[in-house]
Amino acid sequence: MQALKQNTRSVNGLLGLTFALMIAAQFLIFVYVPTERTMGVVQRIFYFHVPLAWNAFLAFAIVFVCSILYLRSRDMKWDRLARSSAEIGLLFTTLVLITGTIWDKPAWGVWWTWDPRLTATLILWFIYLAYLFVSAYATEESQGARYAAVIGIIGFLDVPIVALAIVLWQTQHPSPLIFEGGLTGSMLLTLMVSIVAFTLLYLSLLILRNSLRRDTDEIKKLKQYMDERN
Amino acid sequence: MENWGYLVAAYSIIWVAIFIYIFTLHRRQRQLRREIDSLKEKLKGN
Amino acid sequence: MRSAAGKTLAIVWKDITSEMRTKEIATSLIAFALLVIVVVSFTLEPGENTSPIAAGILWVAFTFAGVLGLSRSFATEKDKGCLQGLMLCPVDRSILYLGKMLSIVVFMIVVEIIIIPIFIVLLDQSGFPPQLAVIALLATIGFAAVGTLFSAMAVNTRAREVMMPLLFLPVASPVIIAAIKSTALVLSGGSWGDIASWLGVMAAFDAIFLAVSPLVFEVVIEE
Repeated sequence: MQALKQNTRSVNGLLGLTFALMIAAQFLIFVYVPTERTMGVVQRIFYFHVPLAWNAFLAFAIVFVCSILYLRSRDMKWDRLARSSAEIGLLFTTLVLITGTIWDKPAWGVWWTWDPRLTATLILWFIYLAYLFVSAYATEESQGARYAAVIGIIGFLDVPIVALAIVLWQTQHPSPLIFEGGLTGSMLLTLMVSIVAFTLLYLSLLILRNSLRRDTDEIKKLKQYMDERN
Repeated sequence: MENWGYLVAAYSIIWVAIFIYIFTLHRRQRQLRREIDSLKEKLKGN
Repeated sequence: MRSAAGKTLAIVWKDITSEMRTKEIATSLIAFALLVIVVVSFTLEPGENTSPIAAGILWVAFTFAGVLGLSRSFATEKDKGCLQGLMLCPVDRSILYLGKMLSIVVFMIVVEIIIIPIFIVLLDQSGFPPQLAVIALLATIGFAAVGTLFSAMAVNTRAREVMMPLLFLPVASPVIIAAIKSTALVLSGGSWGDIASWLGVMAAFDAIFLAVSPLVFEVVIEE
C-alpha cells in the first residue's frame, strides 16, 4: 500500500500555512484595508475576485503542462494531476464569475457586463467544461486521457487569442467600467497576501484531489488483480 | 455603509463552495478507506 | 509515390466526389443556414435598420451550419469504416488532417457563396462588400482548423452530437467575434483599415491552430 502513505508531514505543513495565511488575509481584507471611496464596502470583493482569477488561470497553465507531459510519457500520473487541476480550476472560475457578478451589480448597477475580464472568464469556464466533459464521455480511460490532454493544450493556446479578441472588442466600444484610481500601498499589500493565500489554497486542494485520484486508481488496479487471481 | 449584503453574499458563497468541495473530497476519502479495509479482509481470507 | 500535396489533394478529391454524387451535405447545410437566418430574423421589425444585427445573424447561421457540417464530416467516415481504411494507408497523419480540413473549407466556401447573396437580399444590405470575402475565408479556415480536430475527437466519444459544439464553440469564439465585428463594420461602409486588427486576430488564430492541430491530430486518431 505504498501509494496510500502520503507525505503527510509536508502536506500538513502546507495546510497549516494555508490556514494561517488565509486568516491573515481575512484580517487585512476586512479590518486593515480602508474602504474604497467610489465603490464603498463592496469593493472588498476585489481582494477575493483577483486571487481567484489568478489561480483559475494558474490551474489551467498546470493543466497545459501536465497535458504535454502526459502525451510525451503516457504516464497516468500526469493525467491525474491535469484532471485534478481542471476540477479545481473550474471551481475557481465559477467563483470568479459569481463574485464578478455580485460585485458588478452594486458597483455599476447591472448584473452582467460583457467586459473583457468577465467575458474571457466565461469562455475559459466553457473550455474547462469541455475538458472535463471529454474525459468523462470518452469510451475508455486512455482515450479520455489523450483527448483531455488535447483540449488542455488547444484550450490553453486559445486563451491569449480570446483575450486579444475581447480586448479589441472593448477598445472599439469602451465601456465606462474602469477601476478608478491606482492601488494604494495598503491595498497592494492586502491584494498580494490574498493572492498568496489563495495560491496556497489552490495547491492544497490540488494535492488533496490528486492523492484521492491516485488512491482510487490504485484500488482499481488492486481489485483487478484480485479478480484475476480468482 | 450600504451594499453590505452583497459583500456578505460573495464572501459566503466563496467559502461555502470551497468547504463543500473539501467535504466531498473528505467523504470520498473515507469511502476509499472502507474499501481498502474490506479488501484487506478479503486478502486475508484467501 | 505521390508527393505530400498530391496525397492531400487526393483526400480532398475523394470527399468532393463522394459529395457530388449525393449532394446531401451541401444542400442540407445551405437549407439549414437559410433557416437560421430566417428564424433569427423573426426578432426584427419590418423596416428596422438591421445593419448592426445583420452581421451577427449571418455568422450565427454560418457557425451553426459549420458545426453541423463538421460533425457530419467524420461521422460518415466512422460509420462506414472509412476511417480505418484511411489509417491503413501509409500516409502521414498530418496529411490526413490537411486533406479533411481542406475539404471542409471547400464545402463551407460553397455554402457561403450561395448564402451571402441571399443574405444581402433578405436583410436588405446595401451591397456586397469585397472585404467580406476575405473575412469569410479567414474565418472558414479558422473554423476548419480546430473543427476538423474536434470533430475527429467527438465522433469517438459517447455523446457525439453535443460534444462537437461543446468543444468547438468556446475555442472558436475569438474567430466568431472577429468575424461578426468585422462584418458589421464592413456592411456599414467600413474600410480595410477599420477591420485590419480583426483580420489580424483571425490570422493569428489560423496560424497557431494550423500549426498545432496536425501535430495533435495524430494523438486523436490513434487506436
